[in-house]
Amino acid sequence: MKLWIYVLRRLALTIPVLLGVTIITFCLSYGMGDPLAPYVTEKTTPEQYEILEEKLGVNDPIQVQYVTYLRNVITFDWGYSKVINQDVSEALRDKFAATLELSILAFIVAVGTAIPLGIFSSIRQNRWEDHSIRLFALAGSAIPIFWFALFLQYFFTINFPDWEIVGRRDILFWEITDPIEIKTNFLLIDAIAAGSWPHFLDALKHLILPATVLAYGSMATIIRLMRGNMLDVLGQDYIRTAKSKGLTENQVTYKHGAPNAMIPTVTLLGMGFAGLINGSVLTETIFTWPGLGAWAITAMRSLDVSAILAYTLFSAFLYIIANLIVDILYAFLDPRVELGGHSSIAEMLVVSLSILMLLVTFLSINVAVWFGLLILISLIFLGSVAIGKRLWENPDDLWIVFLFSGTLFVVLSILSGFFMTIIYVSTFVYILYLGYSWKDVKEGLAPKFDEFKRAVYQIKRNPLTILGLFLVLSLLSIAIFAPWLAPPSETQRDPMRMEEHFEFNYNHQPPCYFSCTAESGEEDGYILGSTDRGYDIYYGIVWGSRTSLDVAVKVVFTGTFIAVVIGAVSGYYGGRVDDIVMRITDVFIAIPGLVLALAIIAVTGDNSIEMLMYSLIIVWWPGFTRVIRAEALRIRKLPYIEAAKAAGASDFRIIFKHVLPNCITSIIVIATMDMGGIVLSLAALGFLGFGGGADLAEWGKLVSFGQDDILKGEWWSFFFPGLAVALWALGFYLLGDGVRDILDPKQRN
Amino acid sequence: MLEIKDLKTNFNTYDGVVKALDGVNLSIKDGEIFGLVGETGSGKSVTAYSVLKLLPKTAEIVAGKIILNGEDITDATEDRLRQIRGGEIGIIFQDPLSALNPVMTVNEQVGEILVLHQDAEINKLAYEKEIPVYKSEKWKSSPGVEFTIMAICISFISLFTMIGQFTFGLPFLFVIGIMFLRDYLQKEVPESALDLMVIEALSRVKLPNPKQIASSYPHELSGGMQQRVMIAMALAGKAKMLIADEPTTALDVTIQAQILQLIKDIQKEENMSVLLITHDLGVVAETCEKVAVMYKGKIVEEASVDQIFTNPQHEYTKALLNAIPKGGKERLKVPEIGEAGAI
Repeated sequence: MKLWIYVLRRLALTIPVLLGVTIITFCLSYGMGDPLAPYVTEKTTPEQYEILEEKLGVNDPIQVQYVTYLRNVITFDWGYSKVINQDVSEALRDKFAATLELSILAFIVAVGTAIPLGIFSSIRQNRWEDHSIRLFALAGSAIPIFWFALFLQYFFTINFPDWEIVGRRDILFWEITDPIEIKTNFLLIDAIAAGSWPHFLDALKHLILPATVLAYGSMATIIRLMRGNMLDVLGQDYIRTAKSKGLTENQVTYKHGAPNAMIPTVTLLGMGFAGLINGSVLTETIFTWPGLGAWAITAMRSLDVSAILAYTLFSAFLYIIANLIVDILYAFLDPRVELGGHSSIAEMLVVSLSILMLLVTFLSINVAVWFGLLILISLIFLGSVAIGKRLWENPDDLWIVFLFSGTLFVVLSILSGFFMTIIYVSTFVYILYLGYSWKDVKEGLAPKFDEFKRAVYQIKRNPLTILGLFLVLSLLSIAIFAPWLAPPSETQRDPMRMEEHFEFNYNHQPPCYFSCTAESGEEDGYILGSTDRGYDIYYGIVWGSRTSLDVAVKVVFTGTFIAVVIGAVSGYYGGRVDDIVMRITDVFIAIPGLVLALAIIAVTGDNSIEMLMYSLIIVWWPGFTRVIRAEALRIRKLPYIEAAKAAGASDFRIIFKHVLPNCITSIIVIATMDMGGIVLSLAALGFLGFGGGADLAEWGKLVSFGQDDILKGEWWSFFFPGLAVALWALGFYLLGDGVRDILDPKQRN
Repeated sequence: MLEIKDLKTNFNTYDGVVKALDGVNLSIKDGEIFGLVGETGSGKSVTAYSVLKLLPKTAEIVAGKIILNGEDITDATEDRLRQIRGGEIGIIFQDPLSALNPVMTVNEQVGEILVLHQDAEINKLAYEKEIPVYKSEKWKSSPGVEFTIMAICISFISLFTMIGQFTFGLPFLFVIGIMFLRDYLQKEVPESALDLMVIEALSRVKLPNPKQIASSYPHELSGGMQQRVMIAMALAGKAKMLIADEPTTALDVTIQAQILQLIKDIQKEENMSVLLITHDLGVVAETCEKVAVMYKGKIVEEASVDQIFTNPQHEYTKALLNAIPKGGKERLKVPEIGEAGAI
């Protein structure tokens, strides 16, 4: 009985989140230039234009527009998609089956292989089996999904020329040679319903490649999670108890270890589902799979707004449902979870207000507008009164205001060019400081030396960390020494922009590696080949490392700054501040990252690399904030914080002297790994054709040039740039893993 | 009963080899409560874990002999060791909450050891009373799996209904129907022999309402109840020896006394041997007949309880006794002594 109350409560809590998501999608549509542009052609008469204006309510005030939008959303009137000439809600129904069939198969493959592999890896810890599984998993996280897909396509084109590498079915066979009725649009189920083995085989044959591609990334994450949880569980006391009962090693592992390790793994399966949605955008585009993802990309390329918004909203909806199921499953798996819950008055108020808002919207737009405005104004009023009261009563808390303005300053200076100057100046000042107090520094270093020796020992014990360090250092030096490694030609104005060559002996050139110098002594040919437009791939890779470094550093630094400040303050103070921050992050996290970033870029119509950076920051900060906040929340309950409080330390001091240093490990590890993750996202966006012009030296973009030439057997133009992305990500992931091992005191034994 | 001769166990750590046990000699007779005292890190627990080979991976036994009922089990095979664990020697630990598996009910955890070591008994009971041997609910998995199946079925039904092809949802509806039918048919199932044995094991450690406790999870019980469940588990395999590794450290003082009394009672009833590991001399005085004092991986003194308290021989034992706080007197520290002498 209690469980049903829990389920109902979780269901009710999704409503405010969904409402928040509609606000974001509405902001997206409002941020777009001319809302009428997609509907207008040269033939549109002024009268028709006015009718359109009337119909779409362009001239209405913003609140009326939002409520109208909300009403359309809840009545499933999601607009008209011009790229496929179909109503959006109809299109969703048609295409959802294709995406779902692919995702379900990928999910089954991923979970079914990852959990046994993770368990196996943990029981063979630090042996060669463990190392190879870890490398396999890390490669899965590091290899860009689109590169893996192209690689498979190339492999199958060369080795199995009969294998169709695109599409969902052999249309000739399904429609003309041997037509069967397609009822559900799940082709496997339809084939079974028709009792036709060849149809089933054909559908499965088309499914295998995209499903493998889609599964690999999620599989990698689940393997790493399962391995970590399993190692944690195997060190617990109840495992010793189980051994003392006389159980065999296998019984202990599978009966006592695995179920306990499954609990934290399951909670993150919802996140894995978001990964699938992100991945399906890329996979479907490459395999021309007639699903939601491919449709969304087509829509984004041609500014089909209602389709973009619908896709964003729908994927958020799917993600929320997946997380809902996972949460309920968690309650079933872990008997310790508290079902009663901490449902506060604020929570009930938020839920009931959201439900009321939806009801009112459904009944009357005018009332809803006033109702919404009332809620908004009272929220702002109450919030400012609460903040003002607090500051009036404790003037010491003013430091938070300064903290936030300081963060804003840092973020702005990172985004403008001012950042590097600050870095140079502070490095210089730091060196001066070191020189000034060299004696103290030397004394201070003495105890650190032992730590350092320990770290070196840890690194030596783990060859993968050395590999990561090597990869990161070599890629960074490529970025630094780019002007010497690949000198730009004299005609180039901007070295970041690649040169186009349309002459026949410049484009589609195969790589010549080390024998590029002709007999005359002149450079002839391309070291790593050239693309269809005659871009030099070697040049693109070398200078592309600068693009990657630039974007990764800026996004990670700003994201970290925002996340650390907001997360630490919100986690440390808890209460209402925390509630508000968490609800905001809930809404952002509810939309799968790549989808939101794509939607932001597509809707603003600004295809510059700066816009891509902003969108990545918007997508990135909420997840990071939640991690820091959880750490701060955990730490503030520890006895030494109580002790510091009892000793009369101020909040400022506690946060900066006690809370932050204690979560610095996770900050460093996550920031290091995100340096890799950001570049993967950047490359994915670049591959889809977003971010910077076509001639910007950027790895993902270079891969996309090679996509069309796979059938001709030109492998170099997709292979080398993708390799660079994979090595970059792998390097940072390995380094992050290694850093965690070194910094985590629990790992020392 | 148990004899340990010159046992040496090493830990391989980053800082080098640590000699946790440096030649331990012990002898525990049948039906005796033997106390092993010493400060933290003196090697008491390592001794116990060495006997059952429950040591962490970094540890290894480098020398010595462990003899159980005249049988040398130092190099016993893994199969033989599993018979000994739970079947001949039961062990209970310091913190009962972390020593019990959080996601298994008490019934499952106690039942497990019964299946391993008392299978013949369970079958006999089932034959005599004509009841099922093991789990009496058939075709039922864990709640998580049940829920997953249910969730998948419901999602598919709603999905197919949404796209207007309800007929394709029928197989899933069928599955749900079968699940409900199964639950309905098995509403009142007879208790299995295993359940009866578990309840009997729980009532042996004087747990009130054993039937209800059997169906609860560890975190739902109090600390004293959890430790009683641990003892019930350790004894369920009809072990002739119990190793209690600081069984009362994590408990309240009143509960401590109850648990010690329970161990004493059961020892008397079954004529078992008990190896009681503790750092609390009060516990030793209350419970044990014989006691050994450990210091830096060696036994420094072994004598009867009376002797230890009235006439301690070794320097360290004297220091240890002096460190017991007495009313009005200033508390003394245990001093470091240079080299621990032989017994």
